[in-house]
Amino acid sequence: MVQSIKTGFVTGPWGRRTAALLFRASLLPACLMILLSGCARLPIAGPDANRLTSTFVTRLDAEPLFAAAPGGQKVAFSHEGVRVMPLPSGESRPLSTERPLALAWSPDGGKLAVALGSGTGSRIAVFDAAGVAVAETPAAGLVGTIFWTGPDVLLAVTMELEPHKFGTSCREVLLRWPLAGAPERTLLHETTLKPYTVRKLSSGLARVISPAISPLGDELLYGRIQDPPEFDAYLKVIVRNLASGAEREVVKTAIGDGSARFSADGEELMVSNGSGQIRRIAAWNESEKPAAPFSGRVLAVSPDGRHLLADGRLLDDGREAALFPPRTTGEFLDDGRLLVVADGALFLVSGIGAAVAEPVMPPEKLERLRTIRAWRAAGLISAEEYVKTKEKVMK
Amino acid sequence: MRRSIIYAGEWFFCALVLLTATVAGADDCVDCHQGKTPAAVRQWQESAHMKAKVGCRDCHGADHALILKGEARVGAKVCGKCHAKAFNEHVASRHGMGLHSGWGCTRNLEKRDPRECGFCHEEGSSVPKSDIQCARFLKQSSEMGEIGCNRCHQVESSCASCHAAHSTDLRLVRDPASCSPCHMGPDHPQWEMWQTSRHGVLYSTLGSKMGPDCQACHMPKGSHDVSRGLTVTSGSVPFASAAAKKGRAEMLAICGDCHAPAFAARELAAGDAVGSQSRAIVKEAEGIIAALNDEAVLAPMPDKRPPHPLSGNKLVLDAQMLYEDTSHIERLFFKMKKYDLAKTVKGAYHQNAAYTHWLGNAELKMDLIDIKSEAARLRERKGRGAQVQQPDERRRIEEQLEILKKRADRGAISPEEHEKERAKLLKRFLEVK
Repeated sequence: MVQSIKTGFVTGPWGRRTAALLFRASLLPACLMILLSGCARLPIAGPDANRLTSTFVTRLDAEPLFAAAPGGQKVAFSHEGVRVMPLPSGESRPLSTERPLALAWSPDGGKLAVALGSGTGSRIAVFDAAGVAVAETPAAGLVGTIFWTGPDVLLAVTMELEPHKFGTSCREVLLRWPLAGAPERTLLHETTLKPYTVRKLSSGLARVISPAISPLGDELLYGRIQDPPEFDAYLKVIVRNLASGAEREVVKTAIGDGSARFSADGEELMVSNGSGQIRRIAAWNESEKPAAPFSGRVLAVSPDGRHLLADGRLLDDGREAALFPPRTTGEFLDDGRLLVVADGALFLVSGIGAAVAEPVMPPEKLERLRTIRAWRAAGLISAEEYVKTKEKVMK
Repeated sequence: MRRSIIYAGEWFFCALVLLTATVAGADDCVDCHQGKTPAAVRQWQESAHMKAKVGCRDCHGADHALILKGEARVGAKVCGKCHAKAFNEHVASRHGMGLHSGWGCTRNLEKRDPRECGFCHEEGSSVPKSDIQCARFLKQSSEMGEIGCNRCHQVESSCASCHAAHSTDLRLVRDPASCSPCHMGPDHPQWEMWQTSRHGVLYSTLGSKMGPDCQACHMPKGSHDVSRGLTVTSGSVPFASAAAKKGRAEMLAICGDCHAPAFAARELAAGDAVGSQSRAIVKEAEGIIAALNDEAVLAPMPDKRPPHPLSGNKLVLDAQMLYEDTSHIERLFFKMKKYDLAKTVKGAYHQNAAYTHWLGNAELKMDLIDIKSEAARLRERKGRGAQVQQPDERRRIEEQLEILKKRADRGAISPEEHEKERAKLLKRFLEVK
């Protein structure tokens, strides 16, 4: 095109100016279209690729963050700050110009919690449906993840770092914030990191421990960083019952190589630790079985528990169903669709065949179930007694 | 010719000066230190080290800057290079683990002296020499730890704890008074109980040939193994049978230097019996406090206090128990176990009637009365509280499950009883509306 401008109808100074304008008017949009169309397609391979359809939702920041509201009606994401957008796509509106550290929608989808901050301090703000900040609290250290455990209670896992000449003191802290009151602080783990470890993990340190909350909102999964003097740092993956404070070490894994997520019913953990397979481990006893013969971090579990997203691989009952670009991350929606982040963009994938989430349990039943889960975690009742009592509670 | 002789003379003089300076490794230190640390120089000049030509540098090294910083202390390992037998006996004995049992990792504590790291870590190593830590030490300030803990517990790595730093005069360490700075006081008054025992009175009136001193029985024939002949730990817990049998045979051999074997065996067996009877009283008190903890009536409960330095918010009644940040009943138990049990058991083995009975066993029994009385008060207090605020049924079931688990964990109920009681409580839980 440039060649044609130079050799074609361009003859005088006016003609050159007109050509330049034409160039700007036609080439730039074309380039943008090419650019967008390149990103707007999510490459999908594998046996079920033809069944799946993907829709481009939006572009994200270089360190992408997103959170879908319950019901999958809207999504909050990081793009030059925090933005909220209806799904599958639509007009996004800005909520904050600061880069978020974590995002989480309240159970009814009416409020969005956003962790903001940098350096050594953070704050958590709660925005209502109109985008107005209705509550805010400072948080010492860097917030890695936030969760809602009720309509007005937030949990945040933070990492407080204090550099010394011999290393960095690292505290993993659980903040429980009832929105009407002050946050309560519980120390989860404390260790000293070698200077080499801190340099290697740098700004991603707070996300290394990769916490997850159980579907019932009563148990937390997180990694305890271990940094022994003569060995590389690694993680001990711990499950913690929030009511009783009881904890159990589930597995050890190299940092960045493994992960664990709760199964759909919250009774098991889908675990990978670089051993070449994804395992299904009971949360509070020693039983385990293979879930899929693949390595890869488990990043999302579908509401029916049948589908897993593990480092770009979509697994259906342990079978490889589809392949997205490597390191694709994602989140299953309650309606069985999947939101994935690939190549800096967010896509909505449908046609997976995942069942929709079960309706929310009545509060009384939920409370009873949480109670016996806390008793089981604290060792007050046996695993068998828990199973039998749960059956009766769920009737 | 004359010039050659002068040159040769100058060379000879220089060589002689250099040789003298090399051989006499202490002379250049002594010149200054006679003025700066006269007592150290005087003691050294009168010592066996001086006679054996062991100079300052042989022990302190040649890095003066390090010495000035206080980082070139002469530890037991330095002495052990020449005194291997004594060193080996020492490190294998209870004295050899004195430091490990009296210290702890202060890394995460506020306002600590960073030099404390050096007590457990070799220079440049992040791996501690031992993982035994002392909770009571970790509750102290650096200054208190230095004076109140380390002055005695440094015995592990410092021969100067008993011997003088620069004097080698053995009269010092052969005198039983050299044991008294550490082996006295409410928790292990061996010095006082020996002084007022028949052995001590014989020693003070008729001399060491008639009355045995500490060294005669615990360091016989100059041995540095102070654990020889012992059959209980420093906390009065009996050794396992094989170790106890070996210790008893060793002690009987020591007693046999003066006494008929049967008499010595009878006396020590009586000490064993007093120990066993006294430990039973302590055990009963421990059970009462554990039950109060099960029932969550301690005031304050462990989770409402500053965390124990080693065990966090758990009840600690073992050797790591504290005398601060506990409940009143635990403070009574601390006195009972740490002071009165020690006085009874050690008093019996040291043949001191007053320590065994009035200062020891009688106090133990009165402690038990106090503990039972305090337990009753705490339970009444909780009963009154319950009338004011009734917990809901689910919380009551949970409390009972917690008590059951604690009882089962410490063997107070069988697994079968535990299961049966749990089943009843779960049935109640399902019936709660």
